[in-house]
Amino acid sequence: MKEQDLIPIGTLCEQYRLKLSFFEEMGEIGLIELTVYKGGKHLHQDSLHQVEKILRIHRELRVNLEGVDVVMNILQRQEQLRQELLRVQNRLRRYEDDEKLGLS
Amino acid sequence: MTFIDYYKILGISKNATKDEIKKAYRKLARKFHPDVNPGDKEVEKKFKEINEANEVLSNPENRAKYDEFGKDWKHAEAYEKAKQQQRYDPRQRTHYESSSDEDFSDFFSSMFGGGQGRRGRSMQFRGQDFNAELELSLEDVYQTHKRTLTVNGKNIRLTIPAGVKNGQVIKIKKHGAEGINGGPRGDLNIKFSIVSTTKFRRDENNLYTSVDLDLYTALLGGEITVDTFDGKAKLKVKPETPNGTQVKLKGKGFPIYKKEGHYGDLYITYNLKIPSRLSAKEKQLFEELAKLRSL
Repeated sequence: MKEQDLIPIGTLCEQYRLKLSFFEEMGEIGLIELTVYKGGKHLHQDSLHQVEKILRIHRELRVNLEGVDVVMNILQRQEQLRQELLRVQNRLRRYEDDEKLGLS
Repeated sequence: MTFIDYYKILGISKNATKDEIKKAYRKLARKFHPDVNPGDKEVEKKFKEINEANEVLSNPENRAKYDEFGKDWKHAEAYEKAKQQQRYDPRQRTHYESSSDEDFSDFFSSMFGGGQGRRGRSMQFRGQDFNAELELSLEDVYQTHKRTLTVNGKNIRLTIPAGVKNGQVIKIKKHGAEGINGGPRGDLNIKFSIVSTTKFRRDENNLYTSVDLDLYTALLGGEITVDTFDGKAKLKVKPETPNGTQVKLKGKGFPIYKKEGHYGDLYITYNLKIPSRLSAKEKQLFEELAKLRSL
């Protein structure tokens, strides 16, 4: 993991106007993964999108962090099913294309 | 431009209280928020309508104006113009320009002017990435070809380069979900799942297969014809070739990804086939051979 990919939690607290404890709670619930680097807690930049999504659901829908966790789990499951559906649709399309070309 | 019934959108009566408006808005927002309905355009549109209705009805000034002009709302445009001419504030104008008007209907803009009345939602978010898996056969990826994929109701025409690998992910920029508050679109990541239904096994750019070799050719040597992935090739077999010998056919393997005209190698393993159902004469000759060996 490269140092430049890690964002100190302090910076995020300023950016999002949040308390350090809020990030720690997100970490404890398992919503985000915090990395300890040179004694300080950091967030990997790839997780920033996830944090922003959590914040929107928390702030705009007034869902507490446990509720956000439930929502995120259901969304993850939904995404898996969506991908599976896509895979099956594309697979079906392959057979349909073959049939049109008289290959089957 | 058509009249929008904000009360109907929130499912409340015309004399709803502030609390009832808030409650109705929150309930609908939880249901139609884009983050909990990723990639659903209809839901996104609905969410914008709900937001717009809330912007108007939760603000007493806007609500009064909407109620007053709602029935004959076209007058509001003229009213608003006159009002704006009287009180032009360049700072406010800058504020309007900095935000996207796409979130609001023409009706709203006409009545309340640009983005007036909206909450400061200045944070932009990049749209969600879409991930799709595409299953292809080994034959499919032997040559560069085009394929149409349906992702979120949109058909995307893709050129799949020859030699694409199993598990390889191709990123198609800006084909993911739309950004939030004017943020950039996410990307579409397509993961390739390559299945082999042929007798060839692929490892990176090399292909592996096995061919049966009869005892006599293995012992005495000779020439055989073998199948390659796209045709046939003649192979010289050395005399006294042991079972399991592997030979390499250079450049007869799989195309190298994005290196047109370059191919890996084909490795062929010989499977020695022992003759069965020997005739009496064959048996006798083999016995003679065996005796010669034991001398």
